[in-house]
Amino acid sequence: MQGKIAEFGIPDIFQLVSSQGKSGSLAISGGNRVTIFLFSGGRIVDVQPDRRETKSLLGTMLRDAGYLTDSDLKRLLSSQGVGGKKIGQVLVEKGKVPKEILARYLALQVKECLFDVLTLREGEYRFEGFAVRPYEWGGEPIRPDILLMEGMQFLDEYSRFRGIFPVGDFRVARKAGERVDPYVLTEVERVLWKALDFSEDPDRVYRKVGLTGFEGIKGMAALFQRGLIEVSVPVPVARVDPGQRLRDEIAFRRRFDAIRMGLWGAATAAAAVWVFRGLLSREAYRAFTAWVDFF
Amino acid sequence: MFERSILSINAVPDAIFDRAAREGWKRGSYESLRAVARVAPLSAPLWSWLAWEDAARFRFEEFLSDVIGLSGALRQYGPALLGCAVWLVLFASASACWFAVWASLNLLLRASPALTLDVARLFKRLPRPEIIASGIVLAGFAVPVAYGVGIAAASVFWIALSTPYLRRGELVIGGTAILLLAGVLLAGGLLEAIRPVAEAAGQGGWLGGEGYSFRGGDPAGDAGRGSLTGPPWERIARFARARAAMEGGNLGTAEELWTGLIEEGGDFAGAYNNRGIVRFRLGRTEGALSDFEAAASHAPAGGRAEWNAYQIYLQEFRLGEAARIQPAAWAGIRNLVPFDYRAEEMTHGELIASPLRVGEVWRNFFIARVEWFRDARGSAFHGLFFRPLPGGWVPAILAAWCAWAASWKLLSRKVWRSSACRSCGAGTMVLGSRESGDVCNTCRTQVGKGVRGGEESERRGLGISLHRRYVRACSVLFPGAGALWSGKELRAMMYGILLSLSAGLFTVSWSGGRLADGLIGDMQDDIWRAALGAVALLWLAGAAWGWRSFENFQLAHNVSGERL
Repeated sequence: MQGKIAEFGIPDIFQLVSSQGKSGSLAISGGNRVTIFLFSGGRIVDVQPDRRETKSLLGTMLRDAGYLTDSDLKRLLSSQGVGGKKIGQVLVEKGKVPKEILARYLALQVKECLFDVLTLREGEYRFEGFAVRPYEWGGEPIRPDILLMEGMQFLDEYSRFRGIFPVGDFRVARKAGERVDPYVLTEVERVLWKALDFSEDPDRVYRKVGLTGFEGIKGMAALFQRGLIEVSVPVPVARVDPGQRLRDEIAFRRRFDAIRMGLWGAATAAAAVWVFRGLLSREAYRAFTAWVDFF
Repeated sequence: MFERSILSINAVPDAIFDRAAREGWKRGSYESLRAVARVAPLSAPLWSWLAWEDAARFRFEEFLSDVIGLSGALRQYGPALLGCAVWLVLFASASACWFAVWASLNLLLRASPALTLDVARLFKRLPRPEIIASGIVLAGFAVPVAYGVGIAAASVFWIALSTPYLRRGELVIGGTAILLLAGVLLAGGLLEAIRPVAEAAGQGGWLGGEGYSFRGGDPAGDAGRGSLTGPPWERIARFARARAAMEGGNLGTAEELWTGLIEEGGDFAGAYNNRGIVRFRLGRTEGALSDFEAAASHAPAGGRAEWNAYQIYLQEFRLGEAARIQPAAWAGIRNLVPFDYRAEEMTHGELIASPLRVGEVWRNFFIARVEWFRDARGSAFHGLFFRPLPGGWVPAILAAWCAWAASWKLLSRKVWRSSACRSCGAGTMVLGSRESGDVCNTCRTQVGKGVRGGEESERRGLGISLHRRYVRACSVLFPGAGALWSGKELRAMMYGILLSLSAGLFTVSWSGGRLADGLIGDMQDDIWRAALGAVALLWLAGAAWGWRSFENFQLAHNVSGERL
C-alpha cells in the first residue's frame, strides 16, 4: 500500500493500519526525511527516525536525559556498528539503562515521531506487510488511535504555547527566591519545576522528565505564566559555516597525514640504516663469516 | 701423495686461482682448476666453485659430478663438513633475523592505526589527541632505532606492541618470528661453543686424521675437546690418533689403537683396513691379509681393502690370488670419491688407508647441548642482535611475549579496544574476536562512500583515501604489507620467508665475499649478486602483489574503483 499524503492523510493511514490489525512497516517520507513505524497487530512497536534528525534518536534522548554520557554513547554506537544490534538491546544487555526506562523513552520516541509526521502536508507513504515481533525490552505496543488524539491536540495548540517563548533557542531558570506550594501545581508542572535543577536547556528538561516537546512546552508555559521561571536568550556565538568547517577539517587532516607519512618515511630511512648496521656492517659480517675459518 | 701433506694440497687451487686473478686469466682458469681437482680432492671450496661455474655455464653432467665430489670431500674432510654446518647455521640465523625485521615492521604498521586510536583515548581531554597519539606511536618505532637497539630486541618489542590488534594469522607470523629469534640466540651459543675448534682447524689440529699432516704434539688434535664431546666425537678422536700414529711411524701404538677400535665396534671396515696396513708394515703379511678380508666382508663395496690385498699379493708374487681379485680391486678404487684413483697409474705398491668418516657426526652436530644455552649469553649474536638486553633475560623476555599474546587473547573478550577497518580505515571500538571486528559494517554491506550523504560521506571518502594511501606506501616500503591488510596472512608469511631466505643468503655471501679471498671470495661475490637480484625481484613482486591485493580487497567492499 502506498500513495501521497496529500491524497490520503496521515491520521487516516494510521487508523487504517490500526483498525485492520496489520503488521509491517509504514515508511513516511516528506520534508527531506524518512520515518519508519513498525506495527505488530495494528499497534506501534518501534520507530526508526531519520538519522539526520539526531534529537529523535533513542541514544541521543537518553544522553540528553542524563542516562548516558557522550563517551558512553560513542562506545555504544561503535559496538552497535560492529554487531548490528539495536541500541536498546545493547543497553539492556550491558545493564546501562533499566528496561522500564527504556520502554518509557521508546514510547516517547514513537510519540514525538508521530507528532512530527503529523505536521507533514506533502510527501509519500508506503506500507509493507510482514510479521513483526515486538522487542522484549520495548514495553507494551502503543495504540495509534490514542496517540492520534494527542497528536491532534498538538497540532491545534503547539504553536500557541510556543509563541509565548522567544523564537529560536532560549533558556529557562527558576526565579531566585520564589517559594512554591507544590499542591497548587499540576503533575506536569511539578516534575518540570523539580527538573529545572538539571539543565537550563528546556529540551533537556523535557527529556529528563520523559515528556514530549509539546507536553513540556505546555507545562513550561504554565510555570512561566505563574511567574515562577524566567526566560533568557543565549548569547549567540559566532556561527561557523559548516561547509567551511568541513573543508578546513579535511585540509587539516590531509596536511597532518602528509606530515605523518613524511615522518614515518624518515623513520623508515633511519630504520634501513639501522638494519644495514645490524646485519651488514663490519661487526656483523665478521660474525657471519665464522664459517670461512674452517676452509 | 694422498697420505701426507693434504693441507698444502688443499691450498693449491687457491694459489692457482689467486695467480690467475693477478695475471688476468681468472675466467680462463676453469679448465686448470678442474685438472687440479685430481690432486686436491679434499678441497670443498674447489668442488663448490666448479659446481657453481658449471651451473652458470649450464654444464649439467659436470655439475652433477662436482656435486658428488663435494659430497665426498665433506664426508671425509672434517673441517669442510664443520664449515658447511656453520655456514648453514649462519645462513639460517641471518634469514631468521631478516624475517623478524620484516614481520615486526609489517605487523607494527598493520596495528599502527588502531594503536594510535587507543593511545588517543588516553589524551581525549586534550585538543587534537590524534597528533599526540601519532607522535607516541612513531616514537615507539623510532626510539629503538635511534638508540641502536639490537634487531631482535626491537623486533620483539614491536611485535609485543602490535599483538592486541592482530588477527590469528598475523599472530602466527609474530609467533614464528619470536621462535626464530630464540633459534638465533641458540645458534649464537652453538657458534660460541664451536669457536675453539674453528681457531684450531686452520692449524691442522682438529680431525687431523685426514687432511692435515701430523706435526707432533697431541696426536688427538682438538677432537673431543670443548663442546664437541660424547661417544661419536671420542671415537673420532681415537680414530684420528690412530691415523696420526700410523702416519708418524708409531706402528705398535697404531696397531693397539686400531685393535681397540675394532673391539669397541662401529666402523669395522675402516679399522680393519688400517690395521691391515700397519701389520703389513710390521711384516705380518698373513695377519694383514686376514684384516683386509675382514674389512672387505664388512664393506664389500669399499674398494680399499681389495686393493690393498691385491697389492700385497703382487708384492708376494701370489699372482693367482692377485688375478682373482684384480677386477674387484681395480673397479673398487675408481668409486672412491672424491679421490680420482686410477689403478693403471698406481704402479709403486701404494696402499690406501681408510679415512676418517666425519659424515657420521653430522647429525650429532645439531643435537641441542647445554653449552649452547650457556654460551648463548656471551655470544657474538647476543651482542649484535639482542643488545641491550642482558643475556639471562632474553629467554624470559621471549617467553613473556608468548604469555602476553595468550593473555590478550583472553583479555580481548572483556576489554574494549580500537580497531581500524581493514578496508576503509574507519576506527571503531570493538570487543571480542579480532576477526569479527576488522572490517566495519559499512564496508561489509558494501555501502561504499554513499553513507548518509553530506558531511559524513565527505569524511568517509577522506578516510578511505588516506587509508588507501597509507596501505600503498606500506606495500612499497615493506613488501607484503598490502597482502596482510587484505587478510592473506599465511601467503604473506610464505612470501616473507622466501624474501628472508634470499636476504639471508645475501648477508652471508656478501660478508664472505668481503672477508675471504681466493675461490671462496670469488664464489661468494657471485652468490651475493645473484641473491641481491633475487631480493630486488621479490621486493618488486611483493610490492605489486600487496598493492593489487589491497585494491581488490577494497573493490570487493565497494570502497575503490568504479563502484565507489
